[in-house]
Amino acid sequence: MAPSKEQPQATKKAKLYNSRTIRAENADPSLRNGILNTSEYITSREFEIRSFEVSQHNTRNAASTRIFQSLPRTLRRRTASHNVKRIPPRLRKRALHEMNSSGLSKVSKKRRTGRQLHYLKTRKKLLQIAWKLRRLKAPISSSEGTIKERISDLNRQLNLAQKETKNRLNNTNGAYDNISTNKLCAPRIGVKYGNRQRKFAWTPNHIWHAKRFHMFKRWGWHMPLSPNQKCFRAVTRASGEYAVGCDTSYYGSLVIRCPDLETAKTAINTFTVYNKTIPSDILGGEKAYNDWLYLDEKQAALVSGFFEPRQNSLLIRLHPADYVRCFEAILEWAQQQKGVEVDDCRYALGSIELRGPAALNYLAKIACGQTSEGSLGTLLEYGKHFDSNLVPVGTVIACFVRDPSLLTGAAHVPFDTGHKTSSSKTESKFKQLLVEMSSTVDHDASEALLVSEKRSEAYENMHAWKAARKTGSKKQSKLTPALIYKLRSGAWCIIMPWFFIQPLWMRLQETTLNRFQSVGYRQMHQLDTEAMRAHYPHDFPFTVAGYQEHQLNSTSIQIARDKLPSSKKSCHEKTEDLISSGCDWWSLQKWIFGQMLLGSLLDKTFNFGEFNGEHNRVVRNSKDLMLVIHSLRRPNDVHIPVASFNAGNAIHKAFVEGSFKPDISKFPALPVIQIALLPTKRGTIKNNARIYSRANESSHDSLVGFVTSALFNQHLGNPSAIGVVSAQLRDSKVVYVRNVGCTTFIAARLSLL
Amino acid sequence: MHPDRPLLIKSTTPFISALKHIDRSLEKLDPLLRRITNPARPSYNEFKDYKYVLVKGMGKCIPKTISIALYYRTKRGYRVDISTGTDQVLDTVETGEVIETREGPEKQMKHQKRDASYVVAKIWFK
Repeated sequence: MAPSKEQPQATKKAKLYNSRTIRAENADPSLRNGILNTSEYITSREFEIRSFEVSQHNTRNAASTRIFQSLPRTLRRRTASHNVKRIPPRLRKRALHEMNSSGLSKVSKKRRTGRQLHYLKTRKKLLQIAWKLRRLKAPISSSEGTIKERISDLNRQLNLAQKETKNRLNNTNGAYDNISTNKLCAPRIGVKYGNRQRKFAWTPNHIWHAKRFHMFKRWGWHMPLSPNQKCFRAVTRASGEYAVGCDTSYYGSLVIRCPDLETAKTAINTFTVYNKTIPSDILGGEKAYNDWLYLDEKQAALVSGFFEPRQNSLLIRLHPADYVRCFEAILEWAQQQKGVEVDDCRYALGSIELRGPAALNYLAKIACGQTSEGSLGTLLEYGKHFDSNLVPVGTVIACFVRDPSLLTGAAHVPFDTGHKTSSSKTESKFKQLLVEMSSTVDHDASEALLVSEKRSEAYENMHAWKAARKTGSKKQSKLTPALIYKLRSGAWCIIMPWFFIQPLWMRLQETTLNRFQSVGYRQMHQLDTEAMRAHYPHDFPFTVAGYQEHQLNSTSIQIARDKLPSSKKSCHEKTEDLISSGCDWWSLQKWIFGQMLLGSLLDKTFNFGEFNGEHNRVVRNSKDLMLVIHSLRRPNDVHIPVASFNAGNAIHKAFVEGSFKPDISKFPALPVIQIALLPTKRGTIKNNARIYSRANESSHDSLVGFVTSALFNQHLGNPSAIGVVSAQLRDSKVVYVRNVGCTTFIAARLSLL
Repeated sequence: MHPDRPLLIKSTTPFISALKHIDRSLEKLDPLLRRITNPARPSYNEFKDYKYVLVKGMGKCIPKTISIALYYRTKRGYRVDISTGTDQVLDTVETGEVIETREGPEKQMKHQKRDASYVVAKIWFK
């Protein structure tokens, strides 16, 4: 990028001038007697066209020697700063020179004085003590309070550490295995920004993400929401052509440790879909579990899990919205069993999810050495294959991989192109592996990942990312365990000990250059919706996490709407009646059962409100019904009004057949199904759009559900949506969708998910 | 299209969209065409070893693939080589084992190999 210092000034200037001159040909023999001979004219202009191209080239090359150059969008972090101190030191001098020559003003940082200076000095002191502690390999516990209090606390820890040599960590990186057994674990608190990590913990790559992503705080985590740059098209493209990756360390892991196989089997029978027989591959630790977690025989959360037969340990990976609730329920069960313990590994195990055809290839480049055998060899074989769609969901690869921070280059994992003789051998090897279903799990590795002591061992002599990159610190540290498995969304999930997630992420960024798109929570939702797949928890309003999500969504829409001046508000009262602007499952349940209950009693022609002797409204028409329903709404109702359709449930069966008679005192949860929607003609579907079984412009009589996620589907070139509707529509082919605040109905084909 | 892999013709691939795909890869890979379509970057070093575009069709799609190949030979004047072969493909089949779960019976699956004939058309750059 930068020219060598020895390059003389005159040459550089000449280069710059050369880049701007475009040579032209003056004579034009093709114009004779006022007639232009086109073919001759073009041939004579060929020289000019070529020199124009060459000049364009030169300009681009000349520009690349400047400090302020235009980077590709995806590599931009923030706008080029006028503050020269933000530019890397090695480029600072030249940046100043360029700014001077182009007449830009240099803003130097204001000198801090007084209280500000004191504040900065004390913070520096705090970090110095923390650094001393870290060098002594002493564990640092950061306390709450003012800086002064924190300094004195750290000083006390330092004195103690200098006297006693017990309880030392095995590395200078400050890495340790942060778990709690039989209780919820507290996050690891940093020294510098401790207070802001207390309620909402940081993921291992928090700082990297905070510079490049919009962040949001939820479920006890600071989570990356979406990249700062526009990325809607880029993400879809990357997921189809190479790979997208997301640091999903906010997904919480817990480990149920059982004393023997029988207890472990009971645990699997209690919490998974397999209440009688357990498939042998799951019980042998050869396949990952990708389904519902059951609590009290009810679907509680969509999880993934892995059973390690040597330790009789069950690893469960949960969405952060479900974690605390499910952990407490599992703990309650464990306490009734003999010798069962539950580890909260939220802050001990981190994970990254990779999607796209090159996902495993990138991973193999980092994880595999030149000679790979066993399960690492399988990863290598899978990585050579461009499309891992053939690999079934739940396939597990457990292996020891090289410490990503100590790598100097990526392994060469060529794509199997499928048309050369040498590669057709690898292709058949890939297929052979799938047919044989031979073990891809190194049980030493999966054991090392699930046992706290062994995770701590993996951290031995681990270096911080920057320290490891410095020359001279290329000591070979131990191999680190990794568990890689395929999720039901088609993504590959890599679980590693917490402190290895950051170097792995950095290596992924380095080795793949710009053929890897890092994404946030929102893009994971986008990819699922584009694949017409329900996204957990957003498209599952019948689960606790999903219903909470929709309640929050409705509230936030309402708050945003209330802030608008009345002239800017679209007239929702006319189109939506008393149904709230979000997905109002509560109203839907009451509305459908209310109509079933009253049925023929409702009189459309009756236009007045009528009250009985006790000043109670008499329900005469559907307007009255809506008013009565709305008057019953309580703000803190946590009861979930919808339930997933279950053919074995007597109420659900009767409801679908149309023979169900609801009881006025207590409505059951409305049985619902998830559907994918495709408009039959033109029209856009938006989030929270209402779904009707008939196109009726005047009333909500045929309201059956809501659209949970909608977008412009780039695979189809059309809008598509995921919705949840009443189970009565199981056999329907077409529904009508109306966006919030609109009056037009869009016909859409529906397919069950 | 990934330059390393042949363009696969599926039974659902429309004829015209296959032509468009091939044209696009020719524009990208063929140095002669690239000079016209992308004059700003006439030389891609990464593609310098490419001499042809591969189009592959299996089973039911063999006639369609041959039609595409012949289209390029007769209508566009490309040199096209057609070769045939046998590939192994995988089918997902039931093992016959059924496991009772909370949500009804779950069938266990496995992969099975099957031989399938294919045809590959090599469209050489002009």
